[in-house]
Amino acid sequence: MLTRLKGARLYDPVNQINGEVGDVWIRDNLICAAPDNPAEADKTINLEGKILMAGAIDIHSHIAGGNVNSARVLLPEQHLAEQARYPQHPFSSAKWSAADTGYRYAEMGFTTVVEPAVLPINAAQVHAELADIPIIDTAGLAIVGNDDFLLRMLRYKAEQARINDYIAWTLHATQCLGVKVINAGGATAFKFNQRQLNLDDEVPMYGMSSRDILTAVQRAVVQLGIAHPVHVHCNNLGIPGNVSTALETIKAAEGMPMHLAHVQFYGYGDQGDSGFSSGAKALADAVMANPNITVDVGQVLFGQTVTISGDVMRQFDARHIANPKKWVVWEGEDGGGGIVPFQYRPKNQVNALQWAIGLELFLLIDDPWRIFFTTDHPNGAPFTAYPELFRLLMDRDYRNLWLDKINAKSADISLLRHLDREYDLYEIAIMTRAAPAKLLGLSDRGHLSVGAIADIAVYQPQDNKAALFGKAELVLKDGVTVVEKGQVVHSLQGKTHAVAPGFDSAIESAVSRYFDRYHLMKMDHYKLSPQHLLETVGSELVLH
Amino acid sequence: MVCDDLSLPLHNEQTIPGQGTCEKAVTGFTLALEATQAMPLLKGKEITWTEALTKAGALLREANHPLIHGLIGDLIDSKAAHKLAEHFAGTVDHRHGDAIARNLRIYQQGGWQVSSMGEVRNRADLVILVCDDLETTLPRLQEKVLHSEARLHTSAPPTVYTLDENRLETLSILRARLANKPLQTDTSATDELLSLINKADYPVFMIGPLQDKATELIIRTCVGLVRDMNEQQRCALLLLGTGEGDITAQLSGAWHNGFGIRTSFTKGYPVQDLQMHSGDRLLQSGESDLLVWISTLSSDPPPNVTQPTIVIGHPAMTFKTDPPELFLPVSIPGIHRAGYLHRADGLRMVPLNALIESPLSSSAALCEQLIAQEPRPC
Ligand SMILES: [Zn+2]
Repeated sequence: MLTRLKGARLYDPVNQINGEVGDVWIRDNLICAAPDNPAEADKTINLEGKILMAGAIDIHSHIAGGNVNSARVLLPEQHLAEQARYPQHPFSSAKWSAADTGYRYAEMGFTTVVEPAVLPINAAQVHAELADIPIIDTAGLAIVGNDDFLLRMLRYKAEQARINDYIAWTLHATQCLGVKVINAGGATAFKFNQRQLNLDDEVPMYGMSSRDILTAVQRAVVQLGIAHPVHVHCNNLGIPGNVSTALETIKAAEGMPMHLAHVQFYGYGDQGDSGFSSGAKALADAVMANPNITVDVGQVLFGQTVTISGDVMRQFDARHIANPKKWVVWEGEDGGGGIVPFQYRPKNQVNALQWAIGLELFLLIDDPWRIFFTTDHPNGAPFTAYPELFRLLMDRDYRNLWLDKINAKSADISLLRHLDREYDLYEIAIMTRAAPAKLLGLSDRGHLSVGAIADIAVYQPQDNKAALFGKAELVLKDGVTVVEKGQVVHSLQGKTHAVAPGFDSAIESAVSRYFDRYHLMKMDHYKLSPQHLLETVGSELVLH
Repeated sequence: MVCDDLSLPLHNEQTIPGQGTCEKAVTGFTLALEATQAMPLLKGKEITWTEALTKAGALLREANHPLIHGLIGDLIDSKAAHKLAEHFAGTVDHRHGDAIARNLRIYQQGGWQVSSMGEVRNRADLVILVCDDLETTLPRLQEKVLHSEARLHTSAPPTVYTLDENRLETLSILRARLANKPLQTDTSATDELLSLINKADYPVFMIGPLQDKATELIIRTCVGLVRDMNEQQRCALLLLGTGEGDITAQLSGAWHNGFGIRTSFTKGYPVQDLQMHSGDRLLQSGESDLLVWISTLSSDPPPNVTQPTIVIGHPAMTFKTDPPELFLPVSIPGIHRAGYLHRADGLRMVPLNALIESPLSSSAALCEQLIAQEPRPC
């Protein structure tokens, strides 16, 4: 099957194409070269006047796993159903279900989404949920840094090579695309009734600092050649003055690749009479000065949401601000997590400043290859609010309208009124397509080169950028039309991506003995088997 | 409890001797191997699969309000059940729906602070047991969780304190005393427990199956106690499922329909109602006019009801009274086919592997065929 997507304005930063009119040719599931004779096309779709990009990629969105699923169950009132959105597709009436997640991402032209917090012991459920999300491709990041096995290795001064083996083994056991460190040592310290952990604080019982853990994991990722840098959720999330923690963490990277997640939640100074101010300028300067650092924002948008995090220590601390007043804290093997519902209100001084800080970071960090478009779904806002965020970034007048509506004090102290920058379509294509594919090591997507998978999003140009990006005109996944005029017209099974770095098999014997001693299961039953996953939950793994 | 050190929940002692006996496992395994029913039965008489699927499809299409109930199965069975309920505009519940719903009510009102089986095994230094006889409800729990000596930071097993039938009173007094509230009654019976708690670094209230009339209040009191105590020290709950796939049914239901069990699609979209959508209530009131009983992990027959019944079930199932309208024997997870089942604390899905070949279809394959008989609207 040969398809011609004809005459759209193309935005393809990998090939330095910035709005030029052209054709994209697709054979089956891949982008192909134009044939000598255009009449060979089995199908031609006329896209004159439309915007065409590769499918968008979300590098950090909590879409699956025990923590997300427990949040669903905690808050039935937040996703009451009213009607079937797509009666022809199963579970399309079920809001915030796995099915709904796939349909709603696809409607906006997103075709790959990464679940960034896979606690290894919960990995099978994560994969089962990911496999039930239709249309989009997915991947998970395995959480390390509170795992007793790793902490013991560090306590007994294991060689870096052995730590590398263990990290590679963890990826093998969990079938993930990369590793995430969440408040390294924090969940462990909380288990010993410690309520805060700074980068250089010692983790009780283990005799090493949070920094030591982070550094060891970062080195392992670099030395193993894993494409995605260590994905870091820093210490002290949400605490006024925590911008210093983010700055120290950037320094701790020592020039090696590191990704800092949802940095908006670390952009906080402690100046002013309320002791809460924007640290965005300092953080943005540090990011600009350190090309080894990438960040995603975790933008706050106003409204009801729920915070879901593996940072059990910080989530426990946030229990008092739960709205509605209910919260969950859980602990499990090698980690934990918390669920705290929350409402961001524009007239609230802190919330308004959080909103502004996120936007300041987007606008001050002038390198769309290194700053990523996220709301840390659902922590800053649900991903369904993305259209609003596109508009805020691309439309200064719209931002200024908001500045008149939010808490006046926060609007006054924010730099936002002085920032004229507006993202253009090329920068959006970098930030949401080309750069994430590069950051994740998924070289087959994020661009329109010959040989790339045919994940394509087409939009109708219009002044209202929320409308533009809210409903794609046309979306192709693997060459198949899945969305037309913002509506899902066809559903298919996405794939789940993972990496498989090699490791010395000696580590398996050590881990196996450890499991016999401390776990409720054998190591062999803990490791995921791709064949078993395929047979049971239908997940199609692609190893990179 | 899923015996998590083994490849499947039903056969463990057969292959790994000398680890103590799990009665539940032996019974389940023996029955599964004896299973012989390979053909579907219409009112107890063998028919062909084609006839059976046609009949089942007709019953489902003609029903006003099918109830998909039982769900005594693994993840594959549970997903099939939730899909069936959505497609045929029915309601889904689990055999232990009352217990699941009770916990959901508590959870959805205030949340809670919980731990896992592995954390209790490795870290708890005091376990306060809040449950009926452990030997019968969770036979291997003692050995696997409570008596381990290889623990992360100590070699001493936890102190185990079992609450007697005055549980509610004990817990209430304890909560008041920990909050330094003056009490008019004699509190000396709680002195020992109070001092154990005060000495402990990580006390855990382990709540297992409980027949107590005051169960909901007991759990609420534990939830409150744990919440209070964590203001100063560490402490947690460990809530264990009743078994028979209850946790898998609820959790996988949540990611499929947004809510879990007791969710109805009669309006064309999911509505959860923990009281109104009780399976037993829908059957007794006659609001449901068809029962689809799914049970692959247990060969117990379905409840005897006046509604026509389709059983998608364990091939060794026998019917003492009237046979169901239709009996569709399917493969058993962990015996005939691979699957997944949640551990009793819900944190981990345990893989189940196929042991022997079987000509039987899975519940999932069967349900897909039933669903395919009636295309969705466009
Ligand atoms: Zn996150």
